[in-house]
Amino acid sequence: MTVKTIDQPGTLVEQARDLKEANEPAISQGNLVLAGVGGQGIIMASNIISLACLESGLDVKKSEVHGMSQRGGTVVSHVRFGHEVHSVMLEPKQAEWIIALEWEEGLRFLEYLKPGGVAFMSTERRIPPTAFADRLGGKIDYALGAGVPRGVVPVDTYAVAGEAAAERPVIAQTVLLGALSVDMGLSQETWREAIAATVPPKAVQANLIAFENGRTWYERWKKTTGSKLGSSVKANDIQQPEGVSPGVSLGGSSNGPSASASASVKDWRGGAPRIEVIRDWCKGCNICVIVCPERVLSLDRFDIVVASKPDRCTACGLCARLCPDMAIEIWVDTPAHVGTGGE
Amino acid sequence: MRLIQGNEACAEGAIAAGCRFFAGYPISPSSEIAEAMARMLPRHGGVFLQAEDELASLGAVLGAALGGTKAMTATSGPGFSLMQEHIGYGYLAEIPCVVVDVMRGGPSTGLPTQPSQGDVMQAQWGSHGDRAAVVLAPVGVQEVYDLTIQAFGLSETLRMPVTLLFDEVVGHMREGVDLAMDDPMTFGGRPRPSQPAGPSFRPYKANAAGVAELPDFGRGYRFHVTGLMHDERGFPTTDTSVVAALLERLENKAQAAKELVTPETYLMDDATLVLVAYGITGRTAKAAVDALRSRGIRAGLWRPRLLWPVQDEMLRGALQNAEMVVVAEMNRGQWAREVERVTTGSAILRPLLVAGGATITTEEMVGHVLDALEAPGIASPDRVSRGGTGPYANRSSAGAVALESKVVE
Amino acid sequence: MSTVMDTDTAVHGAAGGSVAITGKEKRLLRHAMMPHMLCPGCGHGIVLDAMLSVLSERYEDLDNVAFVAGIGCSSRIIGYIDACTLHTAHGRPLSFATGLKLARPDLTVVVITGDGDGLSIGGNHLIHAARRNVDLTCVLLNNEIYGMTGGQAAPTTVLGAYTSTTPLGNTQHPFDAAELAKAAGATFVARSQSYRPQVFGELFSQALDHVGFSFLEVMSDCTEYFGRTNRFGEGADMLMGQARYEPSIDADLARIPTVEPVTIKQPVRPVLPIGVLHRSSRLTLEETLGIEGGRSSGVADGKLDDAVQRMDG
Ligand SMILES: Cc1ncc(C[n+]2csc(CCOP(=O)(O)OP(=O)(O)O)c2C)c(N)n1
Ligand code: SF4
Ligand code: SF4
Ligand code: SF4
Ligand SMILES: [Mg+2]
Repeated sequence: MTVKTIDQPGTLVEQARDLKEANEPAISQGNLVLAGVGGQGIIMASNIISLACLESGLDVKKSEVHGMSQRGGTVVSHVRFGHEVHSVMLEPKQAEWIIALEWEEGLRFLEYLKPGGVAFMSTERRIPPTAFADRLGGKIDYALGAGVPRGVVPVDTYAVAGEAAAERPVIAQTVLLGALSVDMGLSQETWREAIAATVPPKAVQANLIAFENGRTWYERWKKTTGSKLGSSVKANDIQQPEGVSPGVSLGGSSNGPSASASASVKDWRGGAPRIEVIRDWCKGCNICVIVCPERVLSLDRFDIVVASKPDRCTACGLCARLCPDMAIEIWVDTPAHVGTGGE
Repeated sequence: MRLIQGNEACAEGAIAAGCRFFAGYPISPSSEIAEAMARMLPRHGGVFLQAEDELASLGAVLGAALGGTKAMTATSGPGFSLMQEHIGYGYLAEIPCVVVDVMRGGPSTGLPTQPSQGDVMQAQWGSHGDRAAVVLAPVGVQEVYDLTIQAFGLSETLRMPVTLLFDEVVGHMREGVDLAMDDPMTFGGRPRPSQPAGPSFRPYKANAAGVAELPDFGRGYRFHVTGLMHDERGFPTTDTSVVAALLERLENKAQAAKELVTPETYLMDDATLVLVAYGITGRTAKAAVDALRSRGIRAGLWRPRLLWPVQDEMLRGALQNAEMVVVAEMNRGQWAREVERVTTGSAILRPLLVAGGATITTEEMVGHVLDALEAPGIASPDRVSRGGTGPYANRSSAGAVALESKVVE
Repeated sequence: MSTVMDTDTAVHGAAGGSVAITGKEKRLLRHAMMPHMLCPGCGHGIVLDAMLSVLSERYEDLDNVAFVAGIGCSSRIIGYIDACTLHTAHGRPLSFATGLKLARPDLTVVVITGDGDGLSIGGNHLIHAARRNVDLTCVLLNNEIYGMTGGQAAPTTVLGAYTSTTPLGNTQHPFDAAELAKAAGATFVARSQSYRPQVFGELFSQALDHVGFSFLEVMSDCTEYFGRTNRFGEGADMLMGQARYEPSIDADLARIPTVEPVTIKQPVRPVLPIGVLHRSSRLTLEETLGIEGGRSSGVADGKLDDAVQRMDG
């Protein structure tokens, strides 16, 4: 299968059309990464996809990687399908699609996205794990001013789900699956059956609605915002179709950021998080080292904490919050071109 | 002029002095103070709190005082014992308040309804560590009123707990009292900070009088108050020189009370026999002076209103021409030790010590003096201590051997 | 819940510079006093930070917030807060705080106490503060031991646990502090953990908002004594060990699980419910006293006169 290096997110469909025209099956093979945090329904979503593929006569392999055992830890699943699939694990830049139920997790797994692939990412944000009763979150609460990384489709899953969202949290995944189904091209019926067979019986109806809403939303999105992708995306360009509230929360600024987009993860984040250690305060208790989900920190030979793998830091803040000595601060650089409207 | 009880006079004095917070726990013979405060405070916009115990009482008083209110508690021996830790706290943290102890017989539950002067030493030494106490001892109802006001003046000015010590008889006695208010402001009141708020603010930096200029809580200053030894910033320290200087300053500032409270002297000009007595005993002693004078004995009375710190210089001056000094107190010898310390070598000491729940009568005093003047070993009433092994046992009517050998030259 | 998350995780700061994800609470610290005196890994430090986080979201400065504490490692944390802080005597902070609050109802008064301070020597004051429903927020840091004095048994130490005074294992049953406060009349009772600063933050916020006596117990870790003596591991292990509360946590922070039985042979730290355990409403002490703006408005004069007459007979 040839994949164009594309500037248009819709191209997979177009490509599929091309392929169809060439008398090949609409989708013969593909790779997905599904990411999120525990309890969000990642496994269920990957089960639905797998089932839909199987029902369509394709071979499927699926992996599940749970991060930390605690509730709220990272969960990632790889799904590969095709006429015959051998290896289960994906390598970076191999996934045509990413489904992220949590924004940060999506960003972390973006490196798996193939050039030209599409990442459907929920704008829901949950704070990582361990220390918290739940990764209860909000939407991303900073401006998407530096642009959305190339290939990312930000989805306010609850808003898109509409009334079906009352069933949260299991609903968000079917919204994203609805969007995915537009590009993946398996038959509607197959998807619906796979959903009905997987989700709890009493949630079937709501999930089907969510699936449908996701599908419609994404079709409209492609016509409006999506068509602009590839040139530049501004957060306030990401228009939502009528009747659907914005897919992206713009943080505190109603004007929205005015910065032009640049499309790398780093820029989007506003640069790598900065970990500041007040060495005089650190007592070397090792708590931060253990609790950091990304294993960023370690103790030096003086038993004082250092960020030995700073580029892995997701700025989750866990280390700082659980440091009994207040010896860690987490900072994020905002690029100079990100302004807030009012200033 | 109103006919009121000593305990009521104490409450009246407190209100007159501006006390607007009282917390206490019922105990005889002090409960009437709490009851009177419960009635009066709401009318004056103050707060009365019946606490769960004496620790809570004084704790609440100290908290209220830090909030900027003049505050008081009242109790008796057992409760006073429980309060000792907080008294030390208030002293070290420099929080003004007034603690009233209406003494009853002890130790332990002792004699709940009978008078005593047994808490004199406790009032000074009851709390652990080195501490200078300021303790006032009124003689009657009018003086309860006056000294309550004075106690507030002292505690505010010096920023420390001040104790008002009287006994069951004074507490329950009714007398005509002139409730004209002394001007409580003659003391200058609670020192306020002269430095601005901010990071360099030092709440425990002392003024010229050696008193910390602590602000009230919640008035724009942020600071730390602790019962740990602290530096001028109020932060804990174990620096020995800082701690030593702090203890010295606190002790020195309390000495100012010596200048502010005057003793009562009666016929002292030519007295060679001086009765030293305080509180209710001071009354009897005054009558005894008259009785002794009528017998041709040049007797006089020196009655301290301030028991602690002891006005050494004044006392020494007053006793310098005395040939015999009789300290009369309702305990087994407490303040007598101080008199002994001050008068070393200059006069014969013949304490009259009565512990057991009775007051000392004029006749007893006169008899005691006459006995003492004649010869050792002459009988005096039974309940006057003479036998036993107490510190002053052999210095009362029964012998005074030890002292005599020391003073006869 | 999400409100707390929003605030706690808010990225703040100006455009085009660095924004702090964490560390904003440090402006409420007494920097001159840092680093603090707690042992490495001590849970009390986490609680201090979590408390400051909440306060930094609520207040510009702490001019009108007073902290009153007793004696103990837990109580020591107030010394690091740039507010009016009153470090009282062992067990007595609630007494001081009650007086302060009645004299100055305009102040927000927060009491910090330990399990020894608040339940043993100060247990009487706790139940009476709860009974009176005085408008205070009392945070009790429960590390199941006397930390400051070197690891003796506390009234919260579970049966069988080893401490320096229970070399053969603790023989006394522990208190359930939250149940005690509730029974005594506290109108807001909650329990939290140092392990979940976010949950603590939410509950602390609610406790501050509550009018009346609010009692918040925080399970904390004494790494130095309780952890070592009982071989619970290092700070991180003890902290992770608090995950045992997991089943007790519900989204609405109010589900109460059954407490696991404890045998005397083996110290098992119980699973206690986390969250808001009780909430009720009744007159506060300030209300019953008729206190307004720092001064008692006084009982209506007539009523008082009647009362006086009644008493005078
Ligand atoms: C009247 C009195 N008794 C005993 C002590 C000694 N003491 C200081 S702290 C403490 C126990 C503190 O335990 P807790 O309140 O649980 O605090 P932690 O150190 O465990 O945080 C004791 C017994 C004291 N300071 N005062
Ligand atoms: S270093 Fe801290 S902020 Fe960064 S990922 Fe680890 S725990 Fe999170
Ligand atoms: S948690 Fe804090 S004190 Fe402990 S090692 Fe990490 S930085 Fe140091
Ligand atoms: S002794 Fe225990 S409670 Fe105290 S500071 Fe150390 S670890 Fe914390
Ligand atoms: Mg403890």
